[in-house]
Amino acid sequence: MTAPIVSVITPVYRPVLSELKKCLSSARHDGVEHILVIDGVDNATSEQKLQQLAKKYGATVVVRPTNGGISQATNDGVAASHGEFVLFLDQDDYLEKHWFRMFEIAAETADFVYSDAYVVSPRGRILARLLKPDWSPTRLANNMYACHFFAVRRELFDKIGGMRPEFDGAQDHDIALRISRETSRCVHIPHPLYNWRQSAASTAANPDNKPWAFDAGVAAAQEHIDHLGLSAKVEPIHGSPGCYVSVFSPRRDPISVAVPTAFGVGEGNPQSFIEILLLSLRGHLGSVPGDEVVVISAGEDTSGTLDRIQQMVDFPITHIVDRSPFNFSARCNIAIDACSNELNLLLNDDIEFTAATSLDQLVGNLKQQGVGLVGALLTYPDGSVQHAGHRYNFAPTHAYYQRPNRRAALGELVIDREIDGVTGALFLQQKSVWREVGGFNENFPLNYNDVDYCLKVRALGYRIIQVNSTEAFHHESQTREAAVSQEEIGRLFARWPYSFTSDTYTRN
Amino acid sequence: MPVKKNSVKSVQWPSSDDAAARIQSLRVRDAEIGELVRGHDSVQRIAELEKQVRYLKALSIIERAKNPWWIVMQVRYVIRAVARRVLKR
Repeated sequence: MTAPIVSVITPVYRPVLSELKKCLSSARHDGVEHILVIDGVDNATSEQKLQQLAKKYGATVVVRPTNGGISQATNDGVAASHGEFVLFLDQDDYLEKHWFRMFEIAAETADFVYSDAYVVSPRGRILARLLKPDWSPTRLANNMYACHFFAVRRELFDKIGGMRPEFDGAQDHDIALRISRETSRCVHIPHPLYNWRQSAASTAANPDNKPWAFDAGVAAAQEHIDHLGLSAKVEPIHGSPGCYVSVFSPRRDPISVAVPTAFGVGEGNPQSFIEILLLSLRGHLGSVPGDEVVVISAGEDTSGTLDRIQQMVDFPITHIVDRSPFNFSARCNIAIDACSNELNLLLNDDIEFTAATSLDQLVGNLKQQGVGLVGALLTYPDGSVQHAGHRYNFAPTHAYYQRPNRRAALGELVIDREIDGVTGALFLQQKSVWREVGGFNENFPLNYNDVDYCLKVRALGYRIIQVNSTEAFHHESQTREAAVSQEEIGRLFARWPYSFTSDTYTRN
Repeated sequence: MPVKKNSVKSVQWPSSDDAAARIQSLRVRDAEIGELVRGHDSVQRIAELEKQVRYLKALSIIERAKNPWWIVMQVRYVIRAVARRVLKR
């Protein structure tokens, strides 16, 4: 007999038999071994019934005489399994009919496989779809987005020591984080293959049902952050159960801020945008020796705005005058080139820093391994979302544009997470990455230069992080009229023919 | 009382031949990346994967459609959605 491809592990504790039947029948397939782990026997009849049920559906039973919790039960189940992969299925949940075929294809090149999921009512009616992103290690540290279902190569499961009972409640988050440190061969199946039943006692119905699970989640995430050598404290995000934020220690590296400007003035406001921006940087910039601002414009500062601001701020300002024809990309390149620090923050002049802005969060996220670019959550002054990252699905758009609140599936508006791209209105980068990708493409003089830039950064294997834990105002397009040139978008699609075909990180 | 700071340093671009050369080298690198993207094997691979995903999605609908009850439910959803829209008007 050939070894099964996948062993489905289901710890069982006081199950509802009708739900368990559905669970067992859904996982039945050639090449699949189903292991039921009876986690503590409280009466002989129920064990007998479970044995009969397992026999009927061809499942193997492992009996634990006493209840030891989900991690112990899962580990015992895995120990008795023979599959190349182990997949975790809860006793009240069930898989979609075609799950195995999709899993088989995905597993060919993977160590870790996860799929989208349906949230279903106790009677099996679909209530919601949980559409997950492609592999996102930073996001995983802040939210266990990959659960239901996930499967891991058995060899890897054993190597990392299996589930840890001390993280019960967030044992899946803990193991996924440890897996993320071992492999990058992680594949997402972009289709719901798992039905997560919303029973009265499950976290799918009410996150308050298992408050200890979130404490365990914080502990698992903190251990992961410590293991990565990042100087940050993990805290739960209020109002978003299961979502965490890594609060980074104050930065030590100096930042160069690059700002192209036309010294424009907002409607009904006596101050110019550049003045509002530079004054709002007080308290954020200047605390680290070497912080600086580089302003670039087409003409001289005839009104003496910059000289006046210079007297009020703690960082030096350099003003570059570029009299060549207007090309926003070229101006950004010139300004960044003039920056003397390795960390460069590119800002539009209609950005305004607030008390919710934190450069420490941007720097902390940028310093993670493999990150090439980070952006912040930009809002209009009324609090609605202006920019929470780009989506490159069919055409480049802003994710959650104009959403009045921070409610979004899987905490997508509150957690720091991987994203397709970020706006050029505010991003932080390392100068070495800017050089490596060849800066901004001057063939995009006004629009989509940031989209092209982000695609280049990702093409070279870097990740881009949308840092939702830091916010700033964006008085968007008040400094110039928003106009999209068809020629520019045509040029973008010609250069990146396969990059606008499907969602990657924002799918809800 | 605010302390008097240095005045703004003002520079005309290009400030030196070096600066202009650095910007020129960026343009060269950008063109290289463009070529890299065009010639990348992964472009073909991504196209294949996209096809596979579309196939699998179609497959899942076909498998679901084998269940007559699923079809009834879909029709019910559509009727309900249309009714809601009509009632909203």
